[in-house]
Amino acid sequence: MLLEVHGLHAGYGGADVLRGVDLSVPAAAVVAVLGANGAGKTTLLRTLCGLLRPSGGTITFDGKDLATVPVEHRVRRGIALVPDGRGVVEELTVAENLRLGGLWRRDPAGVRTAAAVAEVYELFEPLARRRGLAAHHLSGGERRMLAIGRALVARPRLLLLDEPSLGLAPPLVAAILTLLPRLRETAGLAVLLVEQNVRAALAIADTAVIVTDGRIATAGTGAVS
Amino acid sequence: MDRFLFLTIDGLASGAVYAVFALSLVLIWRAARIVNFAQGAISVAAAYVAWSVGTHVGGWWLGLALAPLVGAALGVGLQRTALRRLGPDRHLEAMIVALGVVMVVQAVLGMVYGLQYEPMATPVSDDVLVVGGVSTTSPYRLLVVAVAASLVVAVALLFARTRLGLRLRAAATAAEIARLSGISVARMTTIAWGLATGLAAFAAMLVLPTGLGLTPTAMDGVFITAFTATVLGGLDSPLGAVLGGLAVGLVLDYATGYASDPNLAPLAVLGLLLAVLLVRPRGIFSPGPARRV
Repeated sequence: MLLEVHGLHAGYGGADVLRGVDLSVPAAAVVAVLGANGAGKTTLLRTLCGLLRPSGGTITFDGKDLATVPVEHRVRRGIALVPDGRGVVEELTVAENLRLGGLWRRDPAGVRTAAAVAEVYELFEPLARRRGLAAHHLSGGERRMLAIGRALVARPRLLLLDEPSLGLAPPLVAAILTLLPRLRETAGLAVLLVEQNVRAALAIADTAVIVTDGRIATAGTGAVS
Repeated sequence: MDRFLFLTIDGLASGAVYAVFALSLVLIWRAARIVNFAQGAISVAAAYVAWSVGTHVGGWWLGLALAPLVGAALGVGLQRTALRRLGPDRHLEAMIVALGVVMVVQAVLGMVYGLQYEPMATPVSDDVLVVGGVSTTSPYRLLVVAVAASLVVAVALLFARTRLGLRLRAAATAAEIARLSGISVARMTTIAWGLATGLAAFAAMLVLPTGLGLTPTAMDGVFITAFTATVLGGLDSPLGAVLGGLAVGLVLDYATGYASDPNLAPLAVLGLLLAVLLVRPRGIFSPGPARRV
């Protein structure tokens, strides 16, 4: 199992939003996290990537405990988060935002990062055309592509994707979501997908869990009935 | 016309120093969201140390190399001790601490070096060159412009072309995204402080020999003028700081040269500041719209 979470508690200002989450994500699997607004889905992702400190429970990634690993080091272990809303550095160009994703690795000549950036340009062709443009000039969809691209340049093994369809037109949502199974096949990427669009999420997920009141209420396969 | 040419060249030379100092203020503002009121005191402390060493060995040139190192060490020391303990969001408290540091540093400098004026010699002549009957500028002012321009270009290249520069920019403007990209924002903030206070010390070594000399409060006026330039250009804009510094240098020189009373020169700068802020409350080059309060 790539990621194992047991009895996870976390929240804000001393109040727990997550109240005993148990979750497993196998390697190269897409797991959809569904639930109502305020159920704790985003809090779960922020805790897994280290932005929030858990108040209880364990997170094990690739067999190693993540409790004391700061957020900056989790990306080196292979965990990348694409937050909802703004996931880009507005002041930087598209090319700089993408390079940012590879800065953690010892690659002074930038060869490996350049290769990863080139792959992102193949996946998201509009970004290639706008590589010299500052991110604040991009449309909402392009920003979302850029945020995902930045995370992919890090070459993660687990991608935490928070509401990729938020505010985007349906064709763009479909383009982004159909990309995920491709990345699973080609790069062995596991994805933990938080998504309000249940039908779209279930269409690509291997398994799905439903979060209610800070706990995993139900888990099952992603088959759409 | 000759007078205008002379004042323009001299104003650009003064403005170059303000530009470097203003740039140092912007670097800290972007990294920590505070105005470092201690920047002047730190830079003059670094200049004192550099001057002490330089008078015994190496002269002004060794001092110029040493001052940024001392300034950077003092800045990093301040950030890693008093300010880091405050936490990242205690901006008001951090500025109050910086004001306290001004008093402490100036008191210590007074105890160690005394309060008397110590002249700093220029490494090359500061006598105005006359070319074809026209007064232009002095070799030292040319040196100041060359060093200041080199510093600004070096900082621009650092931010635009290097991995460290990219890390610094990301950490300054989008800390959470930077952390998610594996960047230690705390380390970048410390580096920004070192870079900024080192630059300020450079500026002090350039401006103090032009008649200001060494006293514990020698850089107070430069700080105020450079801060004005920073607000003029926009606190978030390194380009704005540089252009604001040059603009303030020019306005000060023109006002000094043409006004009936040279003491009115600071009023001309304040007038420029007021005019700009009325039209662009966040400064000329600051990104984004002004926030209504």
